[in-house]
Amino acid sequence: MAMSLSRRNFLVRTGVLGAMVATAQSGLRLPAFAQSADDLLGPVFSNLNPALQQLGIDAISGFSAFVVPGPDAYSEQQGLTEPRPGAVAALNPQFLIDVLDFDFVPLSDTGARAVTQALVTATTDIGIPQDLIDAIGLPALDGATTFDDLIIQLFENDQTIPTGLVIAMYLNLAASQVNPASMVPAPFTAPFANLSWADKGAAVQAIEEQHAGLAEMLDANLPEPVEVTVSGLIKFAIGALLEYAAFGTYTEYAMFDPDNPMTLKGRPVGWEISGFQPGQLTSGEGWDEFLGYHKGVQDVEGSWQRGEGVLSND
Amino acid sequence: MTDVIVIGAGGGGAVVAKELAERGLDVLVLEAGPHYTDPENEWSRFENDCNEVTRGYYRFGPGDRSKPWWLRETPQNSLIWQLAGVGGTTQHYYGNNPRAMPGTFTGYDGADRDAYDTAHPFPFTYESFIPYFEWVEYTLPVQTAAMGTKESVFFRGAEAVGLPHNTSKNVSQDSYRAQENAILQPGGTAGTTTDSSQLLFPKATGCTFCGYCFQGCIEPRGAPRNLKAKRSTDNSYIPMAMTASHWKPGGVDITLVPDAFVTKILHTTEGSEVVVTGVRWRDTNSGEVHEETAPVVVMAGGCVEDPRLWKNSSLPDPNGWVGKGFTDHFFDWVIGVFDEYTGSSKGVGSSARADFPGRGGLENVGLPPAIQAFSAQFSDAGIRGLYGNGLARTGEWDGDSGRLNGEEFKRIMTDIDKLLNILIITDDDVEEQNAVGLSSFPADEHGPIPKVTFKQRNRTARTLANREFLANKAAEIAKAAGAKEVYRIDWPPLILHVQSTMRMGHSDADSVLDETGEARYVKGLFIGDNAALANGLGGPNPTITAQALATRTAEFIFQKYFDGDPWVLTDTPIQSIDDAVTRAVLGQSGGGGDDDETPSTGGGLPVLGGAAIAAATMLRRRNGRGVTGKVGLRPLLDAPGSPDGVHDCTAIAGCGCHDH
Repeated sequence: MAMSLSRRNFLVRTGVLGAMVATAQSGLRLPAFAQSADDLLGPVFSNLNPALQQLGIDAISGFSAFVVPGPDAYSEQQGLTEPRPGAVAALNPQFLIDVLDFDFVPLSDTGARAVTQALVTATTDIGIPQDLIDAIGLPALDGATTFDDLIIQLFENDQTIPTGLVIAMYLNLAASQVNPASMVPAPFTAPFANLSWADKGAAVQAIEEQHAGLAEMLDANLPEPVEVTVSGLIKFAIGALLEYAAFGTYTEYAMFDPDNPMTLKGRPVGWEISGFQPGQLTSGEGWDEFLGYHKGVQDVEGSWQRGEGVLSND
Repeated sequence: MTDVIVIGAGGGGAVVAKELAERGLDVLVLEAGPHYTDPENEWSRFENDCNEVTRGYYRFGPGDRSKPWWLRETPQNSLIWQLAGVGGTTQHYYGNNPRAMPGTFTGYDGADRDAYDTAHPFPFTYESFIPYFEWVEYTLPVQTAAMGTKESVFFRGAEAVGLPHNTSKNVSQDSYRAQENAILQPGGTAGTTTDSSQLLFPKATGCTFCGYCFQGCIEPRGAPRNLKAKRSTDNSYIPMAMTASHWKPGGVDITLVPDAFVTKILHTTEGSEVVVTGVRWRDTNSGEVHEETAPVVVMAGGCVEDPRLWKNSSLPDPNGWVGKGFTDHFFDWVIGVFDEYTGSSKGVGSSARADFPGRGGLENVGLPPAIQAFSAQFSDAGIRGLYGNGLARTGEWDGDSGRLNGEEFKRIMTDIDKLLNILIITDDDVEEQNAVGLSSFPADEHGPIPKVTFKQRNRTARTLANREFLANKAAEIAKAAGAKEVYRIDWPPLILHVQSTMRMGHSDADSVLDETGEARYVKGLFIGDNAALANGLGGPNPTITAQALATRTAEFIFQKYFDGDPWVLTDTPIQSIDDAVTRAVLGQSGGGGDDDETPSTGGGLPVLGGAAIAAATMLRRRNGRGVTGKVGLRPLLDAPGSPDGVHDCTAIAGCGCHDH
């Protein structure tokens, strides 16, 4: 069955198809598409997985650089850099993906599938300019089982979609609305990572304020029992993503060794750029900060004195 | 069959368990999370390793961190920051223990009596409750906090805006003060050096100003568990409860089962009454399901899990108030940026506060960098300079409220020790709409999961006005203290101070519990934690009030179901740092001895010799008010001629070490 244009819109707007095409153009061997998509799902996924992972990493990296910019490529693309290392150097993108894929946002099982389906539906009426389609270099629709069909089937299989990728696709969808040119997969595969810092703000705003009815469309297209709650969940997720981009950047994450958990491998970026515990690789035992008691008051009125086994007020 | 089953070994359940064990009852404590018995070697105190809410060692989830956390649905931008494990959420608290505002109790007749949530008062008087505050304050113990640089900055600001210095535990007017903290104050070398080799117990006692309250208190290293500085219940009430037979004649040690998630309250019907019969729980490691019976069950799993368990047990809820009336102090956050050193990452999380009766309170908060960064991003008012969600506001702070982001955020985070954070703690109203229900998401292994709903911006006019008043006051204090820039973040619900989801009250129309803490519609079932609180206390941090209420509830349990006598007005409490408790804790680590002065080897607790016991004895005596009438360790440990002699008192004005 041929892929409908609306479903193709979904793939383009979430960056998935662009990532695939870019991957193909880079020489990575893609599977030969044939008769039964079901038969091919496993092998196809293993082949496409690197491209999907890169899509997720690019989107989340673009997000991390939005919160804590540095001298990295994602910060350069957004037009806002800072000379000291930032979130990308602190491995915050990996941190966020780790957290998201560990069920921070409860999108697994029914949720991930439902949200993905809703994302597909939500793009039904949103067209893509022909010049952008040309720029992306999408393969033609040929009426047979297509590359697009297989990808869609991947997303309809809730076992194969990590939450981090769902969130990345949502960021990309918002990015495609703020600036359609971001859908051209360059320099990054993810539309969100291709935005300017101000446009990233507009995309985040669109999600948080539910512009264009994105979240309502999600709710409207969701099956029971998750309807109603998903728009709230997305608001929760975008808030959490901002908070965790900041939190993760300033933790020890990149320098933590689980085999030696009490001593870090090196100074974390976040400790360096906040001046925390200069020179230390461990959590310190104490500081010479004792300044006594305010105005010398060490025992306030209303403290109860011990009597002969009976309590009495001062 | 046991006498009493307590569900949850956190801030409240541990108190009920200790009090009843001390009176000789058989108490079974079931804790869903882990029991960290060797925290010095289990807690790195790194922020991601500890505080990351899905996988940190401080999370709401099983002790096996390879397993997922336990989800709760929050259909709004918000964060529930609650912990499983022995000690519960007191594991990461700051030990702040201000008493509830008198105006939130029945019978209050002050001039400001109409300024509070007058529709939902405690169903008894403040005066009648004071002995319970006192009992807990002595047991923990609670002490007036020492100050570090960040406190001195806060005090400077508070004085500059004209607030008087309150030197009482009870609040009667707008004022500022040092916190009353459940933290052993610094003694010996503590607070005077950064040299870790000099900060071992017993050379150091009490708080070492390490700055890691939120990551778990292990200081001073080498101290027995009951002499760690912070009085979280894993360091205070639980060690007492586990050794009750050793320090109290007739006492019976509790049976503590960690990794035991209660999934159902068992009950039967006798005549027209529903009566509790026991509980069913699941071993989170093996998956095995167990049941135990008892005539009394005390729910103390927290404000979210208590109503969840109630609903999953199909218990009656005729007035519909189970899970409703959630108060969270409607937090907000102001950050002041200074040119000068503030020491914000050092010392106790908070040792200074200001109180505004009928409005709520403010407190300074020091943080390590990751949570500091989190605190500046946590907002529902958009991103400063980009958008405001239609919610950004202006006031005494600089520019719009909202998240700090990008270049501005990174600049402000450049030196964490030049910041001053002020937490806004709103006196918020009990509202039916803020509630815990059951989620329509798939159930987890313990049943349908909770859904926590807060209508952040649609609260009562009094609550909204209180928050605006306090946010402006916080910004004024920061500026008066010398801040060059002041930012208001405008937090969404940070569900950290939790109260009143199973509230007690006068009326059976809007409360779950009667005034004894017993469920109105299930006999033998009590609530022993913050959920039982009648309201948001007028803003003070809730732990001491919840623990005093748990003590009061334990008395009612003992009287009604075990023919016992009340004790708070007649008996002398034993402190959690008492020598007898210390000996019992140390002896327990060796597998037995109760009065053995020389602990044996083995077990998870540090083994100390006679010198350490002597130091512990000194510490206890100095905290015992009967000895000197003063609270604190300084008077003797740093007395002139002390071998410690580690700091020059003449250089510290009002240091309080001894009489100058």
